[in-house]
Amino acid sequence: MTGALTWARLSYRQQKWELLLVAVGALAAAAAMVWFATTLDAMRAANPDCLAGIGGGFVGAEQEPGAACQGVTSRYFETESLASTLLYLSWAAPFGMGVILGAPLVAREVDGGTAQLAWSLSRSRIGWLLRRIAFIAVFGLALLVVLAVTSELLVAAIFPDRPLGEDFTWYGRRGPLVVARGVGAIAIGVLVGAIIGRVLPAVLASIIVIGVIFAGVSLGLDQWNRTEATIERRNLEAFPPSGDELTALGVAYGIELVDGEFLSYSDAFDRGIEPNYSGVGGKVFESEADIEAGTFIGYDAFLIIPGSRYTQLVARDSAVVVLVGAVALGMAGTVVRRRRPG
Amino acid sequence: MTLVRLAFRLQPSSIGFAALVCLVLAGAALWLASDMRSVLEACGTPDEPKACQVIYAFQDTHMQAVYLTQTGIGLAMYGVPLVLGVPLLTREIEQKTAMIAWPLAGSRLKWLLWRSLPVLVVALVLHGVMAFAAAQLAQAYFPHNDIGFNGHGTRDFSLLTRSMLLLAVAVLLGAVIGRLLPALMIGIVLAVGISAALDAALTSWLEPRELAQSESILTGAFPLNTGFEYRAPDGSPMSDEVAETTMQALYEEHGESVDPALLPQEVFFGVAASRYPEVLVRESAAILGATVMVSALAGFVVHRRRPE
Repeated sequence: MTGALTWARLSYRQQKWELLLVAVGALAAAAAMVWFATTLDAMRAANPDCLAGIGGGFVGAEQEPGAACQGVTSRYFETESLASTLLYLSWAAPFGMGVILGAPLVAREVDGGTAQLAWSLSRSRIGWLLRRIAFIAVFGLALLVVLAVTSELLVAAIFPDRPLGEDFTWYGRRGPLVVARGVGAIAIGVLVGAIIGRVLPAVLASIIVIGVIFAGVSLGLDQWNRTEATIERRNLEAFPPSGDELTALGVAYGIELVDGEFLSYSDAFDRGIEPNYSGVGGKVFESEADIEAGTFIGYDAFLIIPGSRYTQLVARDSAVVVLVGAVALGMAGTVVRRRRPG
Repeated sequence: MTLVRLAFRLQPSSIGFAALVCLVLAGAALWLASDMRSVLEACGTPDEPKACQVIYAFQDTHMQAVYLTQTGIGLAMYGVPLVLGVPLLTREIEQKTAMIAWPLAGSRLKWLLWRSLPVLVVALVLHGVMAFAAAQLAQAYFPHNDIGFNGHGTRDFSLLTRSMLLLAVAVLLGAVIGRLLPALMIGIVLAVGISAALDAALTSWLEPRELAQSESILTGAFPLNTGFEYRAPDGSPMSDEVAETTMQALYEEHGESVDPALLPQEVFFGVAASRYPEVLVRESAAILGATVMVSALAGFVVHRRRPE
C-alpha cells in the first residue's frame, strides 16, 4: 500500500500542472452539465402547462403553446441549446486525456534523462511502466466517469420522457463509451510517447495518431453497423418524427430504390441518379416532369439500428476500443522493454 | 531560406506538424475549389448542371467535404500558432538552456527577436498559403455571389491577422508560464476566448443598420447579421411572440395561399457585404495593433523573468 502511495505521489509530482488543469477543466464541465440539468428540470417544473412533453427541440405532442407560452418555450430551447454544446466536451475529453496525460508519460522520462536511472533501478521495465500508468489511468478514468455520469444526467434532463437505455441520441457523448474511449486514447498516447521519447513531438504526433486510429475504428464500426442495419422509410409528413426514427442509430441516409436496394445520396449522385424532388409518402423523383408523370425512383429512407440495441452496441464498441487500448499498451510494453533510455 | 532552416533545426517537430497540418488543409481546400470550378465549365451547354443556376450551387455534392475542410482550417488557424509559439520559450526554460543562452546573448530582447523571427516567417508563409486556399474555397462554394462576410475570420487576410495575434499570445504564455503542457492547455482555452471575443467585438464596434431586402441573406447576399426583428404590415415593430402567433393564425385561416402583404415582415440589421473591404482593413489594423502590444509584453516578461 505504501509503495503504491509513493508511486502515486511520484506520478502526481511529475505531471502536477497537467493533472490539475485537466481536473479543473473536467470538473468545471461536469458542474456546468449538472447546473444545466437542474435548470432544465426546474424550468419544466415551474411551467408544466407550457413545457409538458417538451425535449430535444420538439414541443410536446399533447400541448399546443399559445402566445403566453412562446416566451417560456423560447427561453427553454435557448437553455437546452447551450446545454447541448457541453456534450461536445464529453466527446472530446477522452482524446484530450490521451494526448495530455498519455503521451508525456514515458516521453518525459526519456526526454529528461530520468529513464536511465529509473529503468536501471526497477527490476522490470514492464512493472515500472504499469506502476507509472496506474495512477494516471485511475486519475483520468475517474474524471471521465464523472463526465460520463453528468453527461447522462444532462441528456436525461433534455429528453425527460425518453428511456435513454434504448436510445442512440448523442451516442458516444454520454455513458460508458466516454470512459472506454479514454482507456484506448490514454494507451495509444503512452505508446506514441514511448516510441518518440520526446515530449512535444510525442504530444503532436499523438494528436494525429489518436485521431487517425479512432477515425479508422469509427469507419470500421460504421461498416459493421451497415451489415446489421435495416431500411426504414422516412415519414416526412410526421412532425415530430416517430419515436423509432428519433431513438435509432442512423447509419446512412439515402433512397430505397424501387427494386429494394438502398443507396446513400452521395452514392446515388455517383451513379448518375439525381434524386432532386421529394413527394407525398416519401417518394423521390428526378425531375418535375417525373412528378407529373408519377414516375418515382424510390423512397426517402434511412439505414438504422433500432434504439432497443443501444446497450448491446455500447458494450460492443466499448470492447473494441478497450481492445485497441490493450494492444497499444502491449506494444508500449515491448517498446519500453527494448528501447534505449536516452 | 537560412531563417527557415534555422527555425526547423530549433523546432523540428513543431514546424513539421505545422507544415503538415497547414499544407494538407490548404491542398484539400484548393483541390475542392478546383473540383467545384470544373463542374461550372459545363454551364451554357445542353448538359448544364444544376449548380449553374442555384445560389447554393454545391450543397448537394460538396457540402460535407467543404464543411470539414473549413472546420479544419478554423481549428488549425488557432492550434498551429500555439504549437509554434508556446515551445519557443518553454523549451529553453524547461531544459534550463535559458540560463546559459540569456546571459550569453547580451540583450535578452535581441535574443528573443532572433529566436522568434524564423518562427514568424514560417508561420506567415504557412498561414498565408492556408488563408489563400480558404478564400478560394469560400468563393468556389458560392460561385454566383459576392461572398462578403461569409467565413470572415477563417479566410484571406482576416485568418492571417488572427493567427499572428495567437502566435504572439502563445509566445507570451510560454514566457509567463515557462512549462510546455500547462502553457499549451491554457493556450487552448485562451484561443477559444480570443476567437469568441473577436467575433463579439466585431458586431459591437461596427455601426449596424437596417439592411435593404437586396442586401439581406434572403436574396443570397452575405452581410454581417447583428439583429433581426418582425414588423407589422403597417411598419410598426412586433415582438417575436406576437409575430409568430399572427403568422400561425393567418396560415390556419388562409393556408398556403395567404397574402404575403398581411404577414409580418422580416427585417435584418447588420453590415452590408459591400462594406467588407473597409471592415477588413479596420479590423486588421486593430488586431495587428493588439499583436504588437502582446509581443511587447512578451519581450517585457522575457526581460524581467528568471531563466528557470
